[in-house]
Amino acid sequence: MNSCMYCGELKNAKPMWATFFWPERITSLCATCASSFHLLTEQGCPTCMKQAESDTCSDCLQWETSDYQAVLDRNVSLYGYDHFMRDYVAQWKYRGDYALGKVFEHTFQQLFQQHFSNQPYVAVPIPLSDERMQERGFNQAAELADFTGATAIDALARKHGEKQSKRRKWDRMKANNPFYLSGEVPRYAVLIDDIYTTGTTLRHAAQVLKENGARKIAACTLIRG
Amino acid sequence: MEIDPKRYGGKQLLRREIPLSSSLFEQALQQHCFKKIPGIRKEKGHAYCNRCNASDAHLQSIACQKCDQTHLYCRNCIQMGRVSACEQLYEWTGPEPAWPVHTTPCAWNGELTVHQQVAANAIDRAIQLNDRLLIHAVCGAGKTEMLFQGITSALQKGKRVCLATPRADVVRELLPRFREAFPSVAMQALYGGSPDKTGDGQLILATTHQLLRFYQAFDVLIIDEIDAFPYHADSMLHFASDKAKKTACASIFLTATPRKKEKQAIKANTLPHVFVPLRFHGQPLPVPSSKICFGLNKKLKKGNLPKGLLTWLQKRTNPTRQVLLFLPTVALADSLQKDAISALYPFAKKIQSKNPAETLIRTVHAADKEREEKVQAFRNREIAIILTTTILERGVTFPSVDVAVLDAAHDVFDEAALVQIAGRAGRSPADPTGEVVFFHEGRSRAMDQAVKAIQDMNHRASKL
Repeated sequence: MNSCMYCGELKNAKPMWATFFWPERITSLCATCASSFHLLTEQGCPTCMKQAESDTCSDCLQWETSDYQAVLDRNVSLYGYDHFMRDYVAQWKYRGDYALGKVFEHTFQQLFQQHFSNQPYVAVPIPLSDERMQERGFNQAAELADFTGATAIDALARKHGEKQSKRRKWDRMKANNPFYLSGEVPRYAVLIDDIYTTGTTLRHAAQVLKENGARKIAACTLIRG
Repeated sequence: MEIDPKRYGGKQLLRREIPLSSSLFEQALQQHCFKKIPGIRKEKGHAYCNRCNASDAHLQSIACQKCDQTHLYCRNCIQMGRVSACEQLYEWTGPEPAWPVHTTPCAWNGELTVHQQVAANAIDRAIQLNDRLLIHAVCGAGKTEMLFQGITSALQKGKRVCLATPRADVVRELLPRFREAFPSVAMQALYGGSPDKTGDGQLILATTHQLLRFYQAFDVLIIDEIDAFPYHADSMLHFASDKAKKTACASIFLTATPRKKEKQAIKANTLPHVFVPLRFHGQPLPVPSSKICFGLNKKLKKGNLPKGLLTWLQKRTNPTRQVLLFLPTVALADSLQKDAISALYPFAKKIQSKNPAETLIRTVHAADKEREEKVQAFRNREIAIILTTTILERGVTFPSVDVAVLDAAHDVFDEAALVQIAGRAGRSPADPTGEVVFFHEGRSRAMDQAVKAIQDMNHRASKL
């Protein structure tokens, strides 16, 4: 394909010896779109990677005083959340354009391997409810989990409820836990999701795993919202 | 409960576009009200989307967790809901919808010029005979009004009519005019994000994309601005318009700037056509003038406006006219420096002295969320100078504007675009002239061709 997978403009990529020898370096996006993803550069909050912080952020401190104390070790993310990313994710996830996820295959694997290759971590994708799955036909978190290169286990299932993205921060933080156990619980689990916004979803999921015997739980997400 | 054939007649829809409960839908299937068509079909080793006919690279695999298989889905028409291999399209095969016969549907009582009347008669005849017809009418010839007579006679026979155009802005602009002209006719405007989605009207105004949902629906299909991007470039939209037509269907094409293909068809006389060279107010088209600005590209890149533009703004014959300022790319519009914009304030003030100058200058582009509001505000004279990409090149009418094109030699401004852009000026009978200036740093072929085409049309008009 000679046009950008996302914006449809011609890619204008010049053939080079490098693309001949390493055809996997040919990206499916044009240079403009590819450079519009904003990579997180700082560590930020050591727990959740919130940018523009150097110590544990106030949200994380608050989590540690709540019922969700110590359920989630930490979260690592790859990209920041902006208009471009929002529209891209909307096309990928809500319109169901599965192929757009492929763009992250390599970088997401690197992120996972960089942080979680030292212990026998197992990837646990955040599930969709059955209804949502019927609607979309695929789970973007499961797609990401496949990229990690680690074993992926569907340890969790989800009750049907309102979309998280339609809720406000406070509503999200106090919402009831929609997850329940549906498979074997690994000792070392990395929860996989597309975005970490308030961390509620991931902590809900982590709590279910923790209560059922998981020893260490971390999260690996594509975007830090 | 009875299902209304008007709601689903002449359409191929995904299950999620059919708001019927599963029990009611099952019942409808058993009564053969819907026919199942696979979402993706295989033909001679190639897969095709059954909605938009895209193939090859447009179809990608998805590891579908609904059917636990990896299969193809269509990326080409995904904006209208995903078509995938494990899903069906449903075509209405129930009773034919009965569209009402209107005796006097048209409330428009304006008068057509002689030339408009000739075209209107030809359209009327083509509609009655289910013919094909190309109307080549200059910008501001009053194309919309020429259609009313033909549409009236179609409605008098209980026919279903669709006016499709490539641009959503144009659909939005046409809707109130058609509502006024045909007040008693069930009418809908369909475009991405339109409030109306049902598409159960007898008269449909739609973007060409929306035609993809229709199948053998219309007795009359009018395509406005056939030369406009993306219609002329995108084979999918040709497919869509063919699919939306009934077997016996009148096809009316409207254009102000025919492309090569249409020009050839006109020359070879293979496509019946009518030429309307005169604007409805009888005045000639404004002929663009060119101004060379040295170092223009450098200046624009740095976010500055060329001096020539300011000089021109100073010297305009009518400094109260609003200004349409065309830029080749969104990036350029966004990178303009603050002081470059503030240099425009005094001129904006002259156009509209009531509002603060900062609110009088706005930028608008294709992906702009407030695009509709901004265009409306410009129409209301709440914006004095609007900086725009080619999205405002056609279909939109502002009564009294001057037009400037910065870097007119840029690739995005082809002949048709420049003719259309020039056609924004002098559209109202109250102010039938306007200035059009191309600012450039070396003329392009397209600029010369555009000027020649405009002079040519004026020449033909003067001989009438």
